[in-house]
Order: sequence, then structure tokens, then C-alpha cells
Amino acid sequence: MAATKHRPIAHLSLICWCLLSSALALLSNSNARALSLAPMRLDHQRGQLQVSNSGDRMIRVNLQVFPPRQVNGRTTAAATPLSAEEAEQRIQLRPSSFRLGPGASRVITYRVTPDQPPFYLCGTSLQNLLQVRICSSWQPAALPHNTP
Amino acid sequence: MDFSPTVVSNFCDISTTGGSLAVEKKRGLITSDSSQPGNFSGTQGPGTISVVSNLTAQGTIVVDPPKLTGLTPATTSEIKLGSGNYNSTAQSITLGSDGNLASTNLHVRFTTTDNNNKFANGTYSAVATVTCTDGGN
Repeated sequence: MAATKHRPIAHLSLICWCLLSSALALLSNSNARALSLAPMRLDHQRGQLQVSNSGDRMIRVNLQVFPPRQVNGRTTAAATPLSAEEAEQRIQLRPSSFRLGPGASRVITYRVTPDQPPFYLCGTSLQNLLQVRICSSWQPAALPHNTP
Repeated sequence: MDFSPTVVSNFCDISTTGGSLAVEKKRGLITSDSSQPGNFSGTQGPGTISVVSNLTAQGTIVVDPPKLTGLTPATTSEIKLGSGNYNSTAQSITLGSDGNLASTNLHVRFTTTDNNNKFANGTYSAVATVTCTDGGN
């Protein structure tokens, strides 16, 4: 009989615990930040980049140019960006720094100066413990004009 | 009615959650890793990264060693991805065949031999760089 009386209380505790867990999960997810960029290769001297914020917090995005480097046999962007002047000599785009609200995206028009060596154009965003970079690569063999 | 345009192409999306640092009682170790031995001031917590992309096997995620900002410089700066080991050099992760990376814990660890092996009083923060590229081979 005593066990029967305690069963509804146990069920209520379980429901409360589940609700609390869900609330905590939502709370932790609310700290998620995200950066998205396309395309990952600049196939033409002129084109457009799309930078998006799929997270739920406002983020600041900087577009920076990096030389290539090798990590474990794979080519990626170097740790240090080119100076603003050097970057401008390789690729023209506006704006190079902006804020994106949750769920927002922005399309940026770019133009690569002819005869440039390989480089990476990276969208960068500082997100707490992490500096996130998503990088589009430029290869000199890319076509001179955007084609459909 | 106008709709803003979209770019149809390959893409990479990195999602993160922030970690938190704590200092060991003897002040020679700052870390986000609660499995490290010692008594800590503060609460450690990992950063996490997850990736969604359509890059398949050509996509690469590189995580560079962390940098510590604060009064006393770090002598060692290390990073640990998932259940791997601590490392002081850049680490690469190959994306899955679906182009994604499931949520992965990222820990940082710093030690110093400066100032009698102690981080001086003050505020310390850390940043590790995570990079997504295509065709990295």
C-alpha cells in the first residue's frame, strides 16, 4: 500500500527531472554559435560569396586573406593573415567586416586581381574559446569570368 | 516580392559552443579539462565543434594549438580533440563521407615555467583556431 502511494510521486519526480533536463539542454544549445561560407573554391576572377550565421547569437565576421600552408600533408590556410594592403592587392571585396544576426546571411561580391598566386579567402569569427575560419581557395587556373 | 539571393555551391558550416578554464591550486596549470589531476579554482568545460558540409572526403578541419592571453606566458600550449591525446602542433580531422563532423569536445591545457612555475594573479583567456577548407591534399 505504501508503495502504491509513492508511485505517483515518483512519476511526478521523473517528469520534473525530464523537464529540467530539457530546459538545461535548451539553455546549453542557446550558447551555440555558427559560421557558414560558400563557395569553398573561387572558380572565377569575379563572383559572389555567401556568408551565413546559422547559430542563435549575433556574430562578427571578418573576411581575411591567408597564404597556404601544409598540415599533415594537407593544404590549408596559414595561421597569420596577410596585411590589409597585401590582401587588397590580391582580391577586392566590400565589406570585409560586418555583423550577422541569428539566421542572417550576406552575399559579398569579389574580384580577384589577375596573376595572383594561390591564397585563401577566409570568413573568420571569434566564438568564445574558438576562432572559427571557413576558407575559400583561389587557384591561378581559375576561369577569368563568371559563367552560368 | 523580392527574395535575397543564395549561392549554390560547396559549403562548410562550423558550429561551436564555448568552453571554460580553471586554474590548478598551485597555479602552474590552466585547463578546460576536468579529468586533469589536482584541485582547481573555477569550473572546467570543453569547447565543442561540429561541422555540416557537402565537401565529402576533400574537406579538412584543422585545429591549431591554442594561445593563452594573460600576465604570465604559457610555456606549453596543448590541445586535445575528442578522446585523443594532448598535442602542441596543428591537428587535422577528415570529415565523414557525408561531409559532417559530429559534435566533438575540444580541450586546452597550458603550463608555465615562468614566475616560479606559477601563473601570476590576473585574468587569462584562451583561443584555438578551427579552420575548414576544401581540397586540402
